[in-house]
Amino acid sequence: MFNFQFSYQNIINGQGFELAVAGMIIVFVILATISLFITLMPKILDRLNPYLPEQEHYNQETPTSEISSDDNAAIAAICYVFHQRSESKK
Amino acid sequence: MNILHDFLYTTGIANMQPGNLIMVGIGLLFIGLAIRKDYEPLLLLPIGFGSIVGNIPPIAGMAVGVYDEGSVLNYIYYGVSQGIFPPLIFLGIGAMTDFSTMLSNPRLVLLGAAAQLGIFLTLIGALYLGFTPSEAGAIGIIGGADGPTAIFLSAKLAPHLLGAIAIAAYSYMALVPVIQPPIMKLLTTRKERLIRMAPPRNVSQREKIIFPIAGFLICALVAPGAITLIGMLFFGNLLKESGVTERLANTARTALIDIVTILLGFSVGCSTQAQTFLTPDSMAIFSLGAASFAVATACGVLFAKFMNLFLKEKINPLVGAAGVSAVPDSARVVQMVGQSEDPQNFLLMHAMAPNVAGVIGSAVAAGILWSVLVR
Repeated sequence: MFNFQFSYQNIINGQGFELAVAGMIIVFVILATISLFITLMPKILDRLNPYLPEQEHYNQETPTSEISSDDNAAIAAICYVFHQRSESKK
Repeated sequence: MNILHDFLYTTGIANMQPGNLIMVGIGLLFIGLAIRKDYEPLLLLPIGFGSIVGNIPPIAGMAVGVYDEGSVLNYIYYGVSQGIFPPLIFLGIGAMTDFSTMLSNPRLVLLGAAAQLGIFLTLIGALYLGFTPSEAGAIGIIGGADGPTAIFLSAKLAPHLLGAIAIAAYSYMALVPVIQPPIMKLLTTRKERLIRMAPPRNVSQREKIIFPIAGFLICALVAPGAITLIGMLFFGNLLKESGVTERLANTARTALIDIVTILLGFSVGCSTQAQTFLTPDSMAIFSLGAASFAVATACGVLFAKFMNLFLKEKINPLVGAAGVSAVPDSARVVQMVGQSEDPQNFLLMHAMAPNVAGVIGSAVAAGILWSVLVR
C-alpha cells in the first residue's frame, strides 16, 4: 500500500527538476529539428529535382483494358460467325 | 447437500466484496459513457466490460482471472504487461495519420512540444507525493494524453500501477471535450479566439514519403528509447504514403488496430480488480492525471500566445490546446471552441498539426523517461 509522504526533498532525491528540464529540452530539440527539416524540405527537393523528379502517381495501378459496347458487339459478331461456320461443317 | 453447499460458497455472489461492486459500477458507467455520450466508445466499451469481467470474484484454485498464471485472460494481458500492444496500435495510427497539415505549417510542430510540459510537471508532482522516480515517470506520461504510450511506459517502469494509469489516461482522453474548453477560454481573449489562419499549402507526395523516414531518424538518433513507438508510427505512415503497400496500410489501419484495440481495452479492463485497483495510490494517480491534462492544455495555449509575440502571421492560440496528443479529439475540441466564436472559422486542419506533433512528442518523452528511469 502506498503511503503519502509529501516532501520537497522527494523531488530533489528523485532528480525531478533535472529530469524535467532535460526531458523538455530533448523533446523541444527533436521537434524543433523536425520543424526545421520540414521547412527546408521543399527547398532541398527543388535542388534535387533534376536527379529525383516528382512522380505523378506513385500508386498508379496497371491500367486494365476496358471493353466498350462496340467491342462487345464485335466480339459477339465474331463468335456468331465461328458458330455458323462450325454448324455448317456438321 | 455438501456439494451444493460447497458450490454456493464458490459463487461470485458469495465472494463479492463492496470494492468489486464499485468497480462493476464504474464498468457500467464507462459502457454508459461510450454508448450514450459517444466518449471514446472504441476504448471505453471494452474497458468497461473488461472491468465487469475482472471484478467477478474468482474461484480459489482455478486459473480464471487476469493475474492467474496460465489463464486465457492472463495470456491476453501478456500483450499489455510486456508492452506488445501499444506499438501495434501506433502502427495503425501511423497508417491512418496524414501529416500533410504538419508538413504545410511546420511552426505548429512546436506547440506539440510545449504541451509535453504537462508530462514533466506531473512527474515532479508525483515525486512530491512520494512516488518513486520510476512510478512518477509512468504517472507523468498520462499528461501526454496518449493511452498506448501511457500503457507502454507504465508496463516498463511501474507494472503494478498499469491498470490505474491506463484507466486514468483513457478516462481523461474521453473527457477531453469536458476538460479542455474551460481552460482554453480562460487563457485566451475573444479577439485571439477569432484569429483566422491561412489555409495550408499543398504538400507533394515526395515530402510525405521522405518525412516518415527522416522524422524517424531524427527522433531515434536523439532519443533511442523512443524507437519502438516512433518506429512503428512512422513505419505505418510510410506504408500509407509510399502508395505501393496499400494492402498492408489498409490492414494496419483497420483489421490490425481493431483486433489490438479489442484485446488491449478488454484486458486492461480485466486488470482493474478492486483489490489491486481501489487503493489510495490509484486515487492519487487520477488526481495527478487530471492536473497533467489541464497543465498540458494550458502550456500549449500559452506557448501559442508566446509564439504570436514574434510572428507576423498570427496563430490562433486555441490551436495550442491540440498539442496534447489525444488524436483527433483535442483537434475537434479546438474546432468546436473556435466555431462557437466564429462559425466560419475552420481550425480543424490547423489543429491536426500540433495534434500529430503531440503524438511524436509524447512518444519521444516516453522514450526519454524509459531510458533514464529504467536503470
